[in-house]
Amino acid sequence: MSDVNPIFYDFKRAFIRPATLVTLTVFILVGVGLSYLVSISLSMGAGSSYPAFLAKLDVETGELTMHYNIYDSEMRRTTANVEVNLLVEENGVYQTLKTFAFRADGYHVVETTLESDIIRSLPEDTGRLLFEVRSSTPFGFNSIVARFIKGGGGALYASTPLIYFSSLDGSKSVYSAGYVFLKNDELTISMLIEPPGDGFELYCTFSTDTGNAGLEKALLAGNVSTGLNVFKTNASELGLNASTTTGIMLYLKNPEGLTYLSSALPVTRIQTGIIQRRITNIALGTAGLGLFSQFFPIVVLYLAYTLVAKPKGIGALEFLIARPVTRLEVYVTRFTAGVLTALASTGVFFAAFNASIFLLTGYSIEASYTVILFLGVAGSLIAFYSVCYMLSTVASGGKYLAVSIILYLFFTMIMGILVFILAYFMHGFTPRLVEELQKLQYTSYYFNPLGLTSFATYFVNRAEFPDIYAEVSVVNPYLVVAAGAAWTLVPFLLGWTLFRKANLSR
Amino acid sequence: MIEVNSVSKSFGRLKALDNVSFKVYNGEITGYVGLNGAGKTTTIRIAVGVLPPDSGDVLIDGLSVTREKKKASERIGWVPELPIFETDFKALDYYVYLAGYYGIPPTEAKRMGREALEMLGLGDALNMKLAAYSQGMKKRFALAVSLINDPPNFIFDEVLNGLDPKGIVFFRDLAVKFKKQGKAVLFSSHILSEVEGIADKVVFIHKGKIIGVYMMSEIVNMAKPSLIMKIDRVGESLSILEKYGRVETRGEYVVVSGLNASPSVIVKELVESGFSVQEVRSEERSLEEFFFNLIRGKGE
Repeated sequence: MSDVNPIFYDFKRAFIRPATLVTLTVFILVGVGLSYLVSISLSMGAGSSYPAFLAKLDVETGELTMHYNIYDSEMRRTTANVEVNLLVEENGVYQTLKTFAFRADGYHVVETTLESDIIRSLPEDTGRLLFEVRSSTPFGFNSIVARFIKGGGGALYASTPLIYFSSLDGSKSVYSAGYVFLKNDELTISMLIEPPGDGFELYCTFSTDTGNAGLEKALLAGNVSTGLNVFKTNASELGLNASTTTGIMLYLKNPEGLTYLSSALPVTRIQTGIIQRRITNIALGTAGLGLFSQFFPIVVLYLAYTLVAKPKGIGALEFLIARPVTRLEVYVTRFTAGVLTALASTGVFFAAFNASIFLLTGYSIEASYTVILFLGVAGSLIAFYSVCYMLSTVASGGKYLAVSIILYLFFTMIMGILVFILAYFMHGFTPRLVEELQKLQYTSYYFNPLGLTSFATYFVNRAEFPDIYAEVSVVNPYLVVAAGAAWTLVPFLLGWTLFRKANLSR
Repeated sequence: MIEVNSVSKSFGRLKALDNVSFKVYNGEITGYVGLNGAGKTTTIRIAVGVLPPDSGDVLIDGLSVTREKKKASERIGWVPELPIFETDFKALDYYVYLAGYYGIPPTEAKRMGREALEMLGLGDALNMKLAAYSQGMKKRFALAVSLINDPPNFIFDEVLNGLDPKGIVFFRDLAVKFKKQGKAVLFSSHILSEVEGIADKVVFIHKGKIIGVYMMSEIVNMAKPSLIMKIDRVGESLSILEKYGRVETRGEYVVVSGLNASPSVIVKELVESGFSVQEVRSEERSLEEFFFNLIRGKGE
């Protein structure tokens, strides 16, 4: 190749042409729309986020401090639009005294002062004063409410989920909020707190129906400071047995020996990979990847028309070949341009889809699955492009379009119908029909340039949902790769044998 | 130098070229003349490497277009009769794209393209789509592209077809300029008079075969008017008539062709020498008649 410029130029005009860009934009929009569907679907799931807050109100000055934190269902920091209402209950009716809102990304602290008229309207009975926190996250809406309780120093406290510490003699108390998570073998204590003094340390131990292990056996989790405290420890190191442990006991201890003990806190078990599995499942559905892999071949078909069939049909390749270039180079250059366009388009689609899901939820399809799906879809497009490219060397203009559209319809629709008819004639409406039809379908994918996408989807489904998707005996990874390579190389080489001697004159 | 060596080409059962051979030397314009469909364009498409021959070869400065296509193509420019380009391109973009095949980077190609297209009167149409170009503009664009690396050999294929008088003069002058620069120029046409005045030599092709190669001076001589006279004592008059051109007898008539004097001078001398000139008429022979006579002479 005398210069790589023509390849990039052909790629540029193949990729940056209205037909490609418009179609790609449509699919990107579909991808973004799909990510919203993913987000909505995720938000329908119960227990989709873990919000917590600790509010402290000084009724004398009206100073209100609120510590807020939110995790998603996999204990990862997530974003939330939060609306907070200070409510007062009057005969079963709730009246809003103050409302404020903020956007949190995990931990957030708000400090505000109530207006004097609100302070005056605060009820004597603090049990009638409520704090409502409504969190809107990518995984759904969550509302938690807590009543204010008098704490030390005349301040009122409201917190959810409550972690209540009391001194061993019962004379003092500390209000806190948070969770204890168990993720694999790692125990995480996430706690919002305003410690009553400096130098407090947190200890933890487990509790069972038969009592707790006591402070002597408790493990030091770490130093406590105002705000969000996250302590991680190994569950086995703590001696925690998931089957017998009913909760976790926490101790707050200061250097002077003042010790506070919490009630037993439930352990929330975190299952990882659920969100990714849901995202993958939706992405593999007909509305996402299916739509792209079904219709983008039309763009590929059109590329071969633009790069070869059309210029060859009008005789425009002659002037090009009169340059210092061989026919083989022109053939390879334009094939490469189409291949690059297929790769770039698939890449952009996946990137846009993954990026939008990530922006909305903080998650994306697992990298290895993305790679398999990318290879499957891009491989399908390249194989189909190779078939169209070969066709463009023998049929020009309108003839090419007619034949290639028939081929597209055959491979995307008609072939599936024929396979069904064949399965019916072979097995009739018997219980075996479904199983045999599936086998025949997967066998037919070997004979379809667009079959790689179906194989890639199969491999991801098998890896992600092995219980749902049964193994299909006819699917062999080596044969899949061989079929993909054959569908790409054979038409390419056959096309060259036709192109090298073709009369390019109109 | 362009050497066409024993080139044959068939399209199905039609033998388009049959053992065609001729040479175009450096500093020479060779006219390539034949009727439409004679095989001129097929020869040229093979010569520029866009059509593979069935047999034979074309050498461009000694480089084979079939075996050393890239190097050969670097040494030859081509302006086709009906240049066809990829229609979705803008002129300057296509120039830059094609310059890539000459190894010229885009920025440099863009600068060169602007200069070349402006020089050829296409400065206002740099960003016009090639589909909107007229035939004349397309030929100028093809010329601009072919001049990218200033090749030492050039082929104009029926380039004057469809051009206005200004365009015709432009391309004829250009061919002469190239000749003066020492380039080998092949100038094809189906009208012999189109190459008159510029060609040094004319290769005639008919039905895929070369039927004659003549120097232009020979053709002009042979195509000059002839004087046909009926004279008494024909045999004795020959010594006088041979001073004024080629003499041949046709029965009782004597024909003097390639005249170097006016008919009145010849008749005056004959009369003064005592001959009786009974009949005098002049026979006009145009270049095209020469061409058709040549074809007829080959059995047509």
